[in-house]
Amino acid sequence: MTFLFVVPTLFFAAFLIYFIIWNLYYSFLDYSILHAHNPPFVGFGTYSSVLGDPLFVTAFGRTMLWVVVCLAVTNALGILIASLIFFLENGKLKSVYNSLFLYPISISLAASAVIWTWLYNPQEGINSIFVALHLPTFSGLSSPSTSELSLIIVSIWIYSGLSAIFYYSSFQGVPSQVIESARADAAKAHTIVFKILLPEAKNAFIVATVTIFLFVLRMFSLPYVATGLDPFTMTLAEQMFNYFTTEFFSKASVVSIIVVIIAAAVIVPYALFGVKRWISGD
Amino acid sequence: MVKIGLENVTKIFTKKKLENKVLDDISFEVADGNFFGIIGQSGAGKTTLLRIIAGLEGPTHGKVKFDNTVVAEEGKIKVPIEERNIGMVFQTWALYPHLTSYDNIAFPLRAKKMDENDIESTVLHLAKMLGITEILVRKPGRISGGQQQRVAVARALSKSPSLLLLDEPFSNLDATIKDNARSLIRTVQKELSITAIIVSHDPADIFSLASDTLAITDGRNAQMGRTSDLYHKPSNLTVARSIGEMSVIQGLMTQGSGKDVEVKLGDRCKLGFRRDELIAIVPENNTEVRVGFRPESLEVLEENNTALKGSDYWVLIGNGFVKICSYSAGIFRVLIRLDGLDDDIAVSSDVSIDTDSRISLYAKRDDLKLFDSNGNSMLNYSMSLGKQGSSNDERRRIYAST
Amino acid sequence: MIRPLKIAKKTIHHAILIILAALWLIPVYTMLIDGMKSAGGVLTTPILQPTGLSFTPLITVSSALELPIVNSLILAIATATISTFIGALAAFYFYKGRSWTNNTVFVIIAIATFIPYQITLVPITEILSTLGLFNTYPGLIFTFVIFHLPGGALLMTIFMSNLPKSIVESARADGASDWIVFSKVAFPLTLAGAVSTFILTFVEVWNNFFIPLVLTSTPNMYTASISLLSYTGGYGTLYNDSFAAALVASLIPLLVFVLLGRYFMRGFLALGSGSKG
Repeated sequence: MTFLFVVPTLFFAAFLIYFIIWNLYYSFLDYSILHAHNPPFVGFGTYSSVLGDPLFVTAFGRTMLWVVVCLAVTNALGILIASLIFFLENGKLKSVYNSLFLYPISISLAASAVIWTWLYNPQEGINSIFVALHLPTFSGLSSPSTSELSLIIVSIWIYSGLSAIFYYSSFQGVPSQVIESARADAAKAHTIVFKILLPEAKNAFIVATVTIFLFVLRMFSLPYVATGLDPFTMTLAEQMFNYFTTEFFSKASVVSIIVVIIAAAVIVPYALFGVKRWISGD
Repeated sequence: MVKIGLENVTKIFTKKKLENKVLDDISFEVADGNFFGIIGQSGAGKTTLLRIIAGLEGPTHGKVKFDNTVVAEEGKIKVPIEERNIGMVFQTWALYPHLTSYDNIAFPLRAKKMDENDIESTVLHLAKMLGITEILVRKPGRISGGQQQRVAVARALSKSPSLLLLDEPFSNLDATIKDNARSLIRTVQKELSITAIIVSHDPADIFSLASDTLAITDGRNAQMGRTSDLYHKPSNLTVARSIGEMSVIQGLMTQGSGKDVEVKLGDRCKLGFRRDELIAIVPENNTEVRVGFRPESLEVLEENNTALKGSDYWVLIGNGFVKICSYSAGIFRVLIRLDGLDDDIAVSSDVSIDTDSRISLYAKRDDLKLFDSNGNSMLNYSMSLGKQGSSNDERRRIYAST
Repeated sequence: MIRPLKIAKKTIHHAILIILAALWLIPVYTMLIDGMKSAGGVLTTPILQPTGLSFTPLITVSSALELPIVNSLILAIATATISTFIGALAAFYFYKGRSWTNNTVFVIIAIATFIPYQITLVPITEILSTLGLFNTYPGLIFTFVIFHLPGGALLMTIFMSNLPKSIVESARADGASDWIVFSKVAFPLTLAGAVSTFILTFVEVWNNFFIPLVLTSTPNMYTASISLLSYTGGYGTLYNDSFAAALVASLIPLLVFVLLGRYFMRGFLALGSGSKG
């Protein structure tokens, strides 16, 4: 009878599975504006035309670059911020700083995009300081050479606080006597961080990396609101949407399947690794 | 109110394809209204046994019967826990932390959809009986451990169960209030004449409550019978030790004169046994045996004090020194190391004895236990039973005379 | 000799944190000062420089965003309630048994939690169009629940796994049915976890952009984040309206974060490192 409790969840989960199967099926057809009815079976035809589409290839490469840069910087900043907060003495201050770095995640990516678009404004934004100080200005979103970097910076602003709380909570898991005895041995702060705290933070690294990876992999609204479907900032998710709005539905499905495969390659081992900790109650 | 029967109950847990037999062919019966004890060391399987009786687990093999109804059989739970009408007191008491004591005790009645007026009178009656009327409005986090335990007992009893199950119910209580708690449970059980089963590793719980006891070792029935018999006539060393303290000295058994056998302890002591005091005939000379002593069957005298020499009851075990003398509840516990032996021997004493002082150790002959090298008892208790135990007065008189 | 060095170190430590925190706060700072800047101020001062207060942009934007905010509230509250409750039911199922079937179901749900929702773009559009639910509340809520329920179930399972086994067993011994054990014991005792789950889901739905972008077609169904599209600032627009819009659209999630940040953080930590923190 207890099984009834999970039935509603399974009902909704079934849709998710159905969607993936649907995508898989249509990725082998040519369902598009050209064949809205009775789309023909084309095998891997749609796959090869997507993989041959320079827009897709650059969007793919850009998303991967975004993932790599964002992960490297958010992990590094997360460790820095977590360590700085960890060594504060005032407990209240610790939680204030933790919240301060985490708050961007509670704002929508669309709102962040609106704000940062203006902050990157060539005249009115942050550049106004550089101009006043006679420093070279940052072209931000207005130049193709810096537009992607500008958006990556925004994502770093959003996700560093998340990585920081993962590291911070793993630092807190280290018994305080260990830290105190290291201090009694006159260990320097960076020694404590690198020799004691970080070796215990393997979990935090995995969790921060996987979580932020999945956030960036589905990155859509930040570039979409900031620059529209701009070929110089387009991500995988945007490219999928692009195929959809131009009614190349099978191509959108192909992108979906590619995204699912990439995501699954990370999620499946992560979920298997997580199950034991998530339900450690017994 | 209910008779409990277990027939050949076996429980196997399988984890990662490894089978672990926690219970092996356990059978027993608890008569209606009896208080039954299950004792064993941690990991012996006693809690699993209780959970099977409760219905939280099913037996892999065997049957569990409540009166004549089979409630579980061969891996299948036929009557689930919620329909067995049992009251259970957990080791952690497992009170609902978000409910007041009143609502905790009322919970089983509300689950039965009993009328609120009846609930109130039942809860108040139980609260009065258990002395927790004043704390009914408080939540478990705001009352003492002793009160929490009484709330747990009241909750277990509120739906007038036919069987009360107690899983180490006193282990989280302060030593000072344990006896009160025990006597309360004893009184309530008698008053309601309810069948009860207690699981504990603490002999004090078992002695104070259970008239009959099952000792389990490694999931097996090691001994079952009157609780006092488990203490005085243990079938093996593990049972002897789980139901009370017992010190052991290694000895060698040899053919004595006539129909006797002799056990040599160290270089000085020889104990004689009649053949009919032993279960089996000793096959050969120099068999390794173990002699067991209860702390209260030993007496410590200053070295070379001869007060007990020639006594019918007392035999000299050897000389040695006091390693440490500690105190608990009016009795001194003295650890003795005899010359030429490697084992410590625990003795209870009415008076404190200085550490390192030289002593002679005497034992009451008829209270000795004898085990073979596998730890199984070698004594035929029916033959030596008559002489078990001499009075405390005599012991005191003997010691006073030294 | 040690003291001055120690003080210097402490000062540097605090200075780095303060500078970093200041950088992090720039967007909030600009939302506040520029969302309340008059049109004249916009023309004479750059974004980072404050100038006199004016409530005109906030008032203009608020009236434009009123309906989208109501829409966002309806969708976020409905989805969060449904996901938390159904998720709690599922959590109770996972809590009770440990067989390979429910471990498998659990892993599937864990995976579903993290699947990028954009992949279902085409099929969900088709289904909702067929059912006539496109551009409606039920259609949007249904879609959001599909994506957020696995996360809700996962979070509630994590939180419920902290519930002592003996409490549930004792409720069963007390004769309680599964439903009573769930509604009277397990759920009340995981209430703090339910609040975390609700808040996390609420904020995620509020901030979701993609699903309403695809599944709404008329302005009366737009959500707060979709409405921001018209404030990205084209040629000749004044930036005070953009900042005011960002502020108004973020106000509720920001308030939730400030007031209930503890629960919010606990939700993220649980998803990451499990219930033990």
